[in-house]
Amino acid sequence: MSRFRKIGSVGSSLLVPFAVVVIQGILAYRFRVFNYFDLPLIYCVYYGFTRSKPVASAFLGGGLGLLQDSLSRHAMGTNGFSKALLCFAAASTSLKFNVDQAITRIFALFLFTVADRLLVSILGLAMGTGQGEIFSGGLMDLILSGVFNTLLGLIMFGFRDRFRHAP
Amino acid sequence: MVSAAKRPGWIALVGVLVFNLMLLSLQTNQHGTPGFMRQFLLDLLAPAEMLVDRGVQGVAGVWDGYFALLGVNDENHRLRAENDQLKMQLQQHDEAIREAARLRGLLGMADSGIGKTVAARVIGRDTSRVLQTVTIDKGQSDGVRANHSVITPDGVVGRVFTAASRSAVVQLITDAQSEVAAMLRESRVQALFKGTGGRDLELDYIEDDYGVEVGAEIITSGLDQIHPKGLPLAVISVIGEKGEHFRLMQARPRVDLSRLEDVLVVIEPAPPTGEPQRPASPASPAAHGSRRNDG
Repeated sequence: MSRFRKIGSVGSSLLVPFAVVVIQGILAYRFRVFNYFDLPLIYCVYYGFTRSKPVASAFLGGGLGLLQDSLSRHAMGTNGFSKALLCFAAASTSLKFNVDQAITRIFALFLFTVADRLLVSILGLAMGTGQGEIFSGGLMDLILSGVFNTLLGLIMFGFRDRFRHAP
Repeated sequence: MVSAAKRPGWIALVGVLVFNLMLLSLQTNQHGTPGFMRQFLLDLLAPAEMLVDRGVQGVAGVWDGYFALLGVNDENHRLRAENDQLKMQLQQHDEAIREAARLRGLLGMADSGIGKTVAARVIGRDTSRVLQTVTIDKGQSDGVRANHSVITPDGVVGRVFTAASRSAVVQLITDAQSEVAAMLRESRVQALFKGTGGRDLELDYIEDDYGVEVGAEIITSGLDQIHPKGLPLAVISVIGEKGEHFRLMQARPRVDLSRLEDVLVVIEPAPPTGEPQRPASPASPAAHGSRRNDG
C-alpha cells in the first residue's frame, strides 16, 4: 500500500507542475484576469508549506520555473532560479514557523510574489530580456498580483485544511 | 556551522541555482544558446496545451451552438440579404483585380502577395503578467522558424521568438522588447514603433513628424527583414508634446491582440515588389527593425 502511495506521490510531483503551467497558459489566454495570477508560484509556496521538504522543493521550483521560461521569451533559467530559491525558502520557512496560521500564509504569499517579481526583473535586466518588469508593470500591478495570488493561495490552503481535518 | 543533517538541502539548492545560472550564462555569451532545452520543454508542453485547448473549445462550441439555435431564422434571412449584396460587390472587385493584374503585367511586376503562409492556432499565453507572448500549434515541422512574421487578415501580430518541432512562441508587437520598422501609409514617412508592454505601440523614431494626425494609418516598411512590406500595423491614437527630437506618439494595433485565435505565419515571404525599397543603411534607426534572436 505504501509503495503505491509513494509511486502516486512521485507521479503527482512530476505531473502536477506540467498541469499547473499548462493551466496557467490556457487561462491567461482565455481570461485576461489570469495574467495577474502566478499559479506556478502559488503551487511552489503550497508545496513548500505542506510537504516541508527543502530538497524536493528546490528541484520542483527549478523545474516549474524552467517550464515557465520555455513558454515565454525569458532567458531559460530566469524563472528557474527564482522559483527554486522561493520554493526552497517556503519549505525552510515551514520547518521553522507555524505556517498553519492564516496571517503567516498571507504574509508569505504576498512577499513571495513580490520577491519573485523582483528576482525575475533583476535577472531580466541583467540578461537584457526584460526592462525591469516590476517597474514597467507599475506598483499597482504588482500589488494586484500579490493580492490575487494571496487570495488563491488561501483558498488552496483552505481546501487542504478542510480535507485534512475531515473525519 | 551547518549541521550534517541540513547540508543536503543547501547542496541541492546551490546545485539547482548553479544549473540555472549556467543556463543563463550560456545565453549571455551566445556561444551555445540552450535552445535545445526550450524546444524540448515546449515539445513536452505543447500536446497538453493543445489537448486542453481543444477541450475548452469543444465545451465553448456546444454552448455557442445551443444559443445559436435561438433566433437562427431571423439571422438566416439577414445573412441571405447580406450574401446577395456581397455577391454583387465581389463581381465588381473581380473585375478590378483582373484590371490590376493586367496593369501589373504591363509594368513587369510580379504578384505582390505576402508569400507562403501557414495557418496556426493560438493555444496559450505567456505565464507572466508583463511579457507578451503566445504559443501557437505550428512549429519547425511545418516550416516555422525564429523571426518569421505572424499576421492575421487585419494586420501584424508579431514574430516567431522560438520554434519547437510542433509549436512555437510568438512575441507580440506590443511586447516591451518588440520593435517594428514601419511607415505612414499616406506620407510614406519611415518610422520605428516599439511595444509598451501594454495595449499600445509607442513611436521610437520618425523621419519627419510634420503633419501626422490622430487616425493616421501605419503600415510595415519591410526594412526590419521580418515583416513583409505594406501590412497594416496600427493607427495613431495619441499625439503628445514635442520630445527631444519629435512629438511623442502612441498607436493602437490593428489586430485585437487580446482576442487572438487563428494566425498566419509567413514562412516564405514573397520577393519585394511594387515600390522599390530603400536600402537598409546602418545609420538609419528604422533599418534596425525588431531585435532578432537566433533561438
